[in-house]
Amino acid sequence: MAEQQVLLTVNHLKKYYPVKGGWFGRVTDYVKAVDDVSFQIRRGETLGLVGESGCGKTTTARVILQLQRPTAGEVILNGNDLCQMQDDQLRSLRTQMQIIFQNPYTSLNPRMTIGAAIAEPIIVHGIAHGNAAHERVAELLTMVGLNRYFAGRFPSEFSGGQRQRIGIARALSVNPGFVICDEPISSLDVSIQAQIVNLLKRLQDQLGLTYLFISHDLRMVRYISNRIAVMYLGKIVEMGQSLDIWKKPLHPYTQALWAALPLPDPELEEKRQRIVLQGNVPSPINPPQGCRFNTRCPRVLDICREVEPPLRELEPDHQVACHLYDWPQ
Amino acid sequence: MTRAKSQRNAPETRYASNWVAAWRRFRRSGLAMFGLVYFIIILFVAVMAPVISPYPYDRVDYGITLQLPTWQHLLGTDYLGRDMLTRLMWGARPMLLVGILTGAVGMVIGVPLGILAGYLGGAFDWFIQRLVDLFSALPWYLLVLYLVMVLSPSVWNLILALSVSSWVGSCRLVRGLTFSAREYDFVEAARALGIPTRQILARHVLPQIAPLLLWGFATSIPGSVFAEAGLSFLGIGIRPPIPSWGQMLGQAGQYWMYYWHVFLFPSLCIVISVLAFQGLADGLRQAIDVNVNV
Amino acid sequence: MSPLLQVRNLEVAFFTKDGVVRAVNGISYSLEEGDTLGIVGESGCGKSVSCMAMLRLIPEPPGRIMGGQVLFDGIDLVRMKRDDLHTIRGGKIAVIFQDPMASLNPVMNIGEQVAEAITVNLGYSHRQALHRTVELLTRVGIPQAEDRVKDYPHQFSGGMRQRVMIAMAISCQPKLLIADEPTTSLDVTVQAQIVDLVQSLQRELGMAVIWITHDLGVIARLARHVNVMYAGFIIETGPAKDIFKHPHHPYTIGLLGSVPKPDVLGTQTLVYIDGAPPDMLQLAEGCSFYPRCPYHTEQCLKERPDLVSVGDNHGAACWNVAAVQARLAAGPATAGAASGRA
Repeated sequence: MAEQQVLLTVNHLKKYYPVKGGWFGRVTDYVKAVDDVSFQIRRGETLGLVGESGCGKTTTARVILQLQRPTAGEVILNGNDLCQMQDDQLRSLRTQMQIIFQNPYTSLNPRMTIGAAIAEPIIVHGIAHGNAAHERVAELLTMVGLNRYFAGRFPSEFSGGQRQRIGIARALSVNPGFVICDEPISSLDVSIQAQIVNLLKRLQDQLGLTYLFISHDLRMVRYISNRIAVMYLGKIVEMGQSLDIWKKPLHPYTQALWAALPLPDPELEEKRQRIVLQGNVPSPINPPQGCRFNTRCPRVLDICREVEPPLRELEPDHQVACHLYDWPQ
Repeated sequence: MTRAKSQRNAPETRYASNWVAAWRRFRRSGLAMFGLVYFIIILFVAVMAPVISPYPYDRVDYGITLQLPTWQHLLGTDYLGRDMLTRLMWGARPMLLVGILTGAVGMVIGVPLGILAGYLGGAFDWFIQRLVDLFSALPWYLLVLYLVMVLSPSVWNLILALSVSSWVGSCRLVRGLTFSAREYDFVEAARALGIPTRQILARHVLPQIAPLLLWGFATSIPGSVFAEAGLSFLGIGIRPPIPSWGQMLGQAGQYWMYYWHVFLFPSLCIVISVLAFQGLADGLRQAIDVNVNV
Repeated sequence: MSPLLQVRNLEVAFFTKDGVVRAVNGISYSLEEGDTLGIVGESGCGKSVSCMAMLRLIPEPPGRIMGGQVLFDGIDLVRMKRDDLHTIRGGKIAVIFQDPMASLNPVMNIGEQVAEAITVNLGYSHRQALHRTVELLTRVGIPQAEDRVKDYPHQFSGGMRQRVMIAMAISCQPKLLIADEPTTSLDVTVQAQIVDLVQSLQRELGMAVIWITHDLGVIARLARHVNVMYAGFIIETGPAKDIFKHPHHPYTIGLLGSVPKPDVLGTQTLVYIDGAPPDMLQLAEGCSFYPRCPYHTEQCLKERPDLVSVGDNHGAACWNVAAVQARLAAGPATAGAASGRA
């Protein structure tokens, strides 16, 4: 696994949004939505990115795809640093990276037939023309489990789950190797969620896709990911093999997240030990000094309030940013 | 799966029913229906004026000046003995021409600027915004007055002069709409798919805001109708002998105390037109209400 | 002793211009004092409507209670005069909703709002009510409650607003609390706080709780008894432990299969339900789950199954309970007869 080829490298990625205030709209502060995030994704694997709302996971996705330009950092996909590229250079690279959106109701143009929506990128990038493009659309629709004759219909004629399949077909139309799934199931019904996740898994096997799977649903992330990165207030606090993160969470935040997650098993629930975190996620405008989790951490130390812990590899392929592991115990 | 899907029958009708629903919402407002019917009638009258008007618009007859309504002259005659009905019919032409073309020219200038400013943002947006501010701060009536005086009064120059300020409204509207359309997920999806900006604007943004543009266009008509009437009243709009309602009012100035008809009929025409177009615009707003909030 | 709440054959329909939506189709259940009932199902299954109809909180028209009884403490709420309902609502029965912001007045400070509820429902003086408000807000875990009563709803986070709603709900010591997806829009860690809070309040006040949700995990955490709803019917009902361990209705089986179990090592395959929830405008004559069911037979198409007993206090509305169990026992993969067609 470790020897697999790296597809995407993110180095010291930052995205700050200016907060304007005062008389002349001067920049008074910054929302540090993504603050010095680094990770790698290997070819063919799924990296799950979890965290609570406002932790910066969606911004990370947008910045990786350069839909918003980062404040600083590198995003290297197949050896190209996307952050250094001009818009028109990026346009041709867009065939290598795609995104699946959270809300299937807003991510499709209501005034375009789904066939036209899927064909558009195929034609723009010169992948196919005329009849071949139509054939490709039909093929994509079949691939995501839809009827090929649906191409002439409008999005409003489809259910949420079907629309999400259409969104997937559109993303796959340009044959990307890397796909960001930005909360692709969180607005769907439970029974439909499993359909979509299984579809994503099947497509990954079939096409050799690499996923960055963003979700707040820890169970689904655990299910679909090879590795998991946990984000808190713009930073990655823990990252490692999916099973390690679940079985041996090191960061107190990860531990609390797992403990808060209700399991569909009443007997297990009765026996489980609960760590209920106090309070809410602080504002990313003025994040706490030192470790950002120190205001809610049940195991906080003095040093946590002053010094920010770096993300360190504690075990092979398992990194954590926490002072608890500063000294061997 | 296929079974579940084939059960969703006759889906094509759902999209078509958007238009049906829009029409139903439009029809609900009495004023809107009145506006629509009025628009159709006045358009007919304006186009057909040379055919259906009882007399030539410029036939002067000093023998019958300032006659009250009679069977020969249903709405009476003016101070030169010209038939009022005929002149009112002809007056619909500059009214519609100015009302519609001013809005259209404003759109032609304002829509592209607004879309680009809203979508691109940045320095271009800043520049356009300042331009819009400048034009909205100018005393436009004065500006139009000067322009028409310099260019010599005619229908076309009037339209040109009014368009100098009418683009500001459509530009501001379109910029705002585009600005929010940029945030739509499907626009972001198109960007992520590498669709060129021009195509995103034409295929994803514009169709989305088009219904509102129609509404914006309709709301601009009453203002232009008023402006045409006002300028013609002052004698710097439509040039005699071509009739215009405002001009007729201006000519009625000295007589209205004794001959009510020369004053009343043109005033009614202006008021009803403005009201009708406002109703039409309001009905359009209600009709597109749901379609816009995707 | 008769149960606190008895719902008998409750039927609710909405008369829309597209047709009649039969949202709730004759459901019956009962709830003892101090007990916890979980109602689980997907969007549009009638779980929320059935509870709101019980309190006559659905808009009428287009909604209408077509029949049935809701006996609360022996009184039929369905036949009760509208004017008398306020003695029940906000008194003996309290409700908390998914979106607390919609229930709070944005231009009134939190203290005034809670105090108002107390004054109206309990007849306290304004000063007493304010005093009680601070006590309640402290009890639901709002730090520095005496200062925060002066804040407005937008100054509270989502979790804090939900706590305020809970404080209002418990202010008159209700016998029944209906929680309509109160944690759905909250983050996991905040959700856990709210669930814990409601559980501890339940123990303290001895109130019964109906918890409506689509999250099976939350149900497992707090419910003692579970009703699974589909297309306006209760299709399975039973003690939580039985339902999770031995689900009998194919829908329940599919629903449980749709949730990955994080403690399972290695790869697992989700056994999920094919198709999409039914169009409530045109419900099938037979079993409403029939089009998505991998076990369906001829009978399912024609006749609607009633709840049959499949265990102690455990019922499922399915014609093929035995066959389903047999096929489940044969191997876990059978339930996903459709999974190959993802």
